[in-house]
Amino acid sequence: MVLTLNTERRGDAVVVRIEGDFDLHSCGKVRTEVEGLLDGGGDEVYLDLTEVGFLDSSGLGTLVGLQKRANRVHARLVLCALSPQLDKIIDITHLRDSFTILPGVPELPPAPSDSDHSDDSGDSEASDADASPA
Amino acid sequence: MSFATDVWLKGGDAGRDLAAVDWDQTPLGDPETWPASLRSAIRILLTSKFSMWMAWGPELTFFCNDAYRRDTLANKYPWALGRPASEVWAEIWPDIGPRIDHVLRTGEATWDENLLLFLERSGYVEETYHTFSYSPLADDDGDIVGMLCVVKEDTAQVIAKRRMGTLRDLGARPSGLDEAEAIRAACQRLAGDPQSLPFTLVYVYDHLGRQAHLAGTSGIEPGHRLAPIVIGLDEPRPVWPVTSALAGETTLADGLRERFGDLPTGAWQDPPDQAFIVPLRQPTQTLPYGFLVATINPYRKGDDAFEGFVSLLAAQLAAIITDARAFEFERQRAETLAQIDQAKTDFFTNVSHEFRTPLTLLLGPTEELLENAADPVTNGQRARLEVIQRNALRMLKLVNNLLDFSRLESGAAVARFDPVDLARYTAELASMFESAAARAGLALTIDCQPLPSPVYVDQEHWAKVVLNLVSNALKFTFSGGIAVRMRADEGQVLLTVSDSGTGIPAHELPRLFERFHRVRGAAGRTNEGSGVGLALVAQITRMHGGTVDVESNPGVGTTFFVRVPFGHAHLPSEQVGAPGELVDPSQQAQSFVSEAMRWVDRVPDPSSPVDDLRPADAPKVLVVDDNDDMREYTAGLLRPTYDVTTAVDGIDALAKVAESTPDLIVTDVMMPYLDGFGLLARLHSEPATTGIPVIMLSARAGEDGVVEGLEAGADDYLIKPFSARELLARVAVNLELDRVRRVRTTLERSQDLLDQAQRLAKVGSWEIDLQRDQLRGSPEFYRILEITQELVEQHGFRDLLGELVHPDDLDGVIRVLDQARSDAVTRGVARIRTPSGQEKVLETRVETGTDEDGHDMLRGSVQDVTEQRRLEKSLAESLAKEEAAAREHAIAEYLQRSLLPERNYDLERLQVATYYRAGVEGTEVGGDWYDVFELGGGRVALVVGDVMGRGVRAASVMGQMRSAVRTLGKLDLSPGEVVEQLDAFVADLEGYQMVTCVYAVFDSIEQTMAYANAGHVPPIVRLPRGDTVWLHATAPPLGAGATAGVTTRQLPLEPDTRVVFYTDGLVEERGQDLDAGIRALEQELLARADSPIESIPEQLVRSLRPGGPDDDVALLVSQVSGAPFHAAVSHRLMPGRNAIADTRRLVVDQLRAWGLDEVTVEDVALTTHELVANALVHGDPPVDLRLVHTGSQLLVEVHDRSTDRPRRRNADTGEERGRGLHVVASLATDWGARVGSGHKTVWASHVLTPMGR
Repeated sequence: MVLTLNTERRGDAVVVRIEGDFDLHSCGKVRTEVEGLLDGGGDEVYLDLTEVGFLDSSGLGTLVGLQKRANRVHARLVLCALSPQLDKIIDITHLRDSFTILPGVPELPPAPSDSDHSDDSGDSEASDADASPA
Repeated sequence: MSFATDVWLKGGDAGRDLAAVDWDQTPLGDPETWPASLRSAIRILLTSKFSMWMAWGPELTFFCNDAYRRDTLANKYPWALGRPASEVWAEIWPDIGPRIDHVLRTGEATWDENLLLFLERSGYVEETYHTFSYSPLADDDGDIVGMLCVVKEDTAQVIAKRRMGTLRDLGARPSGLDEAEAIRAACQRLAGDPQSLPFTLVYVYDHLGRQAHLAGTSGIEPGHRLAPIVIGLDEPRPVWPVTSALAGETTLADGLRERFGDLPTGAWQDPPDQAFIVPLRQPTQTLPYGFLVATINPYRKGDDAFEGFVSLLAAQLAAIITDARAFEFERQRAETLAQIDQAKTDFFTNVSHEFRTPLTLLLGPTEELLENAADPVTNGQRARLEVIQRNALRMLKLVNNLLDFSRLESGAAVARFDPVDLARYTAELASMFESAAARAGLALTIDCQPLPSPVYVDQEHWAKVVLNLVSNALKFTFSGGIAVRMRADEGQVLLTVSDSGTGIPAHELPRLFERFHRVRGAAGRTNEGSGVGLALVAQITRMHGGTVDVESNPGVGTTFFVRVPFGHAHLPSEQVGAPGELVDPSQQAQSFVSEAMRWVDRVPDPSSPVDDLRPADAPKVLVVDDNDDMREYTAGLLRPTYDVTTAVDGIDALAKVAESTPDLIVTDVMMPYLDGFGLLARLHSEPATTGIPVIMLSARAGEDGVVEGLEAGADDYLIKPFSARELLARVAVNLELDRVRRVRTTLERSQDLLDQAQRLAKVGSWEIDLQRDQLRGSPEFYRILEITQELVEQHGFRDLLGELVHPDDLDGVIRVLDQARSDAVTRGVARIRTPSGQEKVLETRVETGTDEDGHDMLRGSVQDVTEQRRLEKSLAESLAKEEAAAREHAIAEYLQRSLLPERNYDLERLQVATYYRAGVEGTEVGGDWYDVFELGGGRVALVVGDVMGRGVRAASVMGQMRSAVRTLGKLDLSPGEVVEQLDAFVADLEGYQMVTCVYAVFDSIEQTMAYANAGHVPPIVRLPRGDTVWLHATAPPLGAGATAGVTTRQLPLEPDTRVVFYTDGLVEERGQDLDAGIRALEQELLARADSPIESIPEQLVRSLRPGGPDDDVALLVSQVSGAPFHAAVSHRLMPGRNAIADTRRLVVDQLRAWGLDEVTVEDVALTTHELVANALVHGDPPVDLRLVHTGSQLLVEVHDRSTDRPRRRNADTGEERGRGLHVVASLATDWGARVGSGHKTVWASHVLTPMGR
């Protein structure tokens, strides 16, 4: 399944909903998007993984890289709603303690965005990170 | 000077403009005719900087100064000048007319402060505030004909103050509200200022930024057409400009009245016409939370000041939302934590519960067996059944404790608080321990004074408090006593339980009441316990509205204080009961008391009758354990073989050792008084006991425990639970090792004795005068050397030396003489042959000196050490022999364990039968071996080999070969490569070694066998049709010379093909051609085509070696079984970026089609994906994938054209790459890589559970 990203501001936080297969081919897209958010001063970035059907070691490596990036810029990266498959691979690789993991996507304060970017083209680069209004 | 030039010109603009008025048209007429009083009033007016106006004459004609014009009059100037005042201020005449009237009539001045006046001076009705005074003006006759108004306009101040108040109110916000409540509360405050804000609306954008939701209003009903509940951002004509607010812009909406007609008016007559729409900005974020619609007072313009006010309002509202959201976030976090806590408690409850059923089922039948009078059990059985019963009861108690605790914690336990005579009840409970205390030699003081009133307690729970505290005290007190006291104390009941026990270190006190916390290193009667007791006490006390405290001094004692309030005001009323009977505490106390009895009442069981069965000289073993049942279990296992004594702790053990030194000690680690480590240290500190081997038993699992034990000097270490066999084996091995050690010690001791004898041996002395080169010896010297003084003088001692001393030792002797010094003795040993032909070994000592004449001398001694040397040599030999025997023993054991692996191989599509037998002569072990091991991926390695030579040396090389082959095989090297590597390995071995070996790999999927044969007798393949193939050597024997480029041969193996691997002992016979032997084997094999494979090896040996083999024989027969594959698919990956995803889909579909469960499908899909990704990224195309379902396992093979062997590593947590193969290795049952020339295959196998098949 082609990977799509959906970035949404909620209060101080940004929730990136990732849908589809997070693997060798699609991990670059996630990296570009989330790095942009982290570097752009998003203090908290929640990755909603509910709809990630498949995660491979490259995807996992990307998450490690993003976590390091987050640590460097003193931002917080939170992985939300891991499926059993994701849970398993994180346990296998002993990475559980490297991440902040929530069982579900927290109810974050609602915040407006008339410009949530939904990128369904699949192959194009990630949607622009900063969803500030035009 | 005329009036005009005199007055008007001093009046600034107002003067000039007044001069321009056509006064003839007014009742006042030409200014030149005006009375002096009017002129003087005008002069005052015009020259004042205060804002003033005045009216004069019958029409109250209007005058004003510049200040008034500037501050108040606005657009009415200069029109107002010279007009009647009632016309100038027509709109406020109802307000000011009466005041002016009053002044004119009475001559009294008026005073008004901050009077609200709606002026129409700027084209609209305006809300204004003025402070003013009207004073009368008299004409020249003293009649009041006019009035002067001194006025200060306060509009700006009044409005500013009002707005400040509103802002301040908004700032004082209550905390702890959620967002909706906080916004509603804020709007209520806005409603308190309907003047500034006729009505307001607060909208908040939704999560998705698609809608704005009405979150609060003031002065208008939600749902009003100006206050829609929801505004979509995509609405073409939204009521409010939602999108520009989202973009952070403040906008002014105009013409509300016209657009919406009837509107709420707030504090005013007329509805507002304008509104500011201000975004509610988030701190640090671009996107606003929402926006505020602030309608503007219709009597004020939407000026900068108002906009400033509204943006401050918006900032306050945004801050309120920020706070509320932060609070909500915290609240949710707290809730999540609470849920986790609840989940933990639920877990404990469930687990404890689950334990109870099996325990009950264990206890019931046990009790039945014990009490069945009709069919009584034997005494031996009874003892064992009682062990079961006692321990099941103990476990039940632990589980009940846990369950109580989690019930209390979760609030599931409903207590019933009855008024109870608590002093009596507590005394009864404590007295249950009287006999236990007495037996332990402790004084139990019970002092429970009558209380003024009954105390409301849950009896069952209270009993637990008392029983836990008293039994705890008993557990940790070894001398002195325990006191249980109760009295009323400051409106509460105070229970104290004190002991004179071991005490609790200060740093442990804070955690004492935590669940599962146990004080480390506490000296108690037993280490049994779960760490729940005190937590339970604390929990129960809390439930009773009370407190529990502890004071403790290590070595002095501990006191627990439990305080519970009188009355029942602090208890839930529905749980308060009425006075009733006291519950009989004995039932509940029983388990506590009987447990306590066990601690204080330790008497080792009398030895069992099995003692008689074992040999009289059986080794003595001491078993030390504080748990009665464990001790008796361990001792019982050892009794049939050993002379067993028991001890209940370390101290007791030392006493037993002093009585009679055991040959070996088996000790528990955790024990009261003196634990296992302590015991070990004490044993080691005494020379008499330091050598006793000690095996430690511990429940502490994990490597650390082992290391700790062995570092402490334990000879061996066993982790509980251990099997009976394991214990017996370890005890036997340690006793054996100890025996070897002791023999060596005995030998060493005799060596010491020998040294002493040597010193007592006879010594001959001699001296040499260096000037004269003359030697003189003592009689003993001549006797030892069998020479005479005459002989020395005749031949000269140097020549004589040359004749007597063994030629090899002569140089040494001369060197000793030459190196002689005055300050040290030089010594040497030399062999001599005496004139009588006897060989002797002499030790010579030399030093230099001078004689009485001052001549330089050599002085020395000789000692005959021949006998000593002979003894020494034989001692060394026997020592070596002893050691060799021990080693051989160990190796033989090793062989038994490792060489003959289990007979039942559960291999994929291959049956294997094996045979090994040492030659009939053979107490000596040979060097033959066979091996079978799985390589994963449906492949099995078959090995047979022979190390030339016999005995320990050959056996040890064989052991090394076996592990080398396994290691190389597991690397998934091809058979040819394995053989090459083995050759290098053998070449590195010490001494000349020759080894023959066949290494074959059976691939159950390919149905092939690949092999390499290094100089070994050829394995025989019997094909299903009855043909045979000999697998001749493909390389010379290992170690025979450089073996390079060994080819791997391969042959297909159909089902029912048999292959026989063997060593030459089976076919070699003295005086017979080897080939003839192999042909005989071939015939026997063919003759037994129909025999089941299991019986083949035995049959072959029996018919080929009827008298038993002279030499070792290792034999391995394998047969391909015909079970068909379930299925297999192959797939070549098409280049392109969808290759991986397509492949995964194909894999998932295929696995589902095979009916595998989803977990397996996911796992296999992930391993396949990782392998394929690796091949695509690191390998060379084309990449081929094959999935094989063999029924019992699922095999993934990925094939590409590179020959780089992939390496598994789990990257550090910070690394981004390098986890793929780790993931594969973790998910798959096995994995590996085979590298061939120009290609490699990486495979992973998943063993399917029956469910997953």
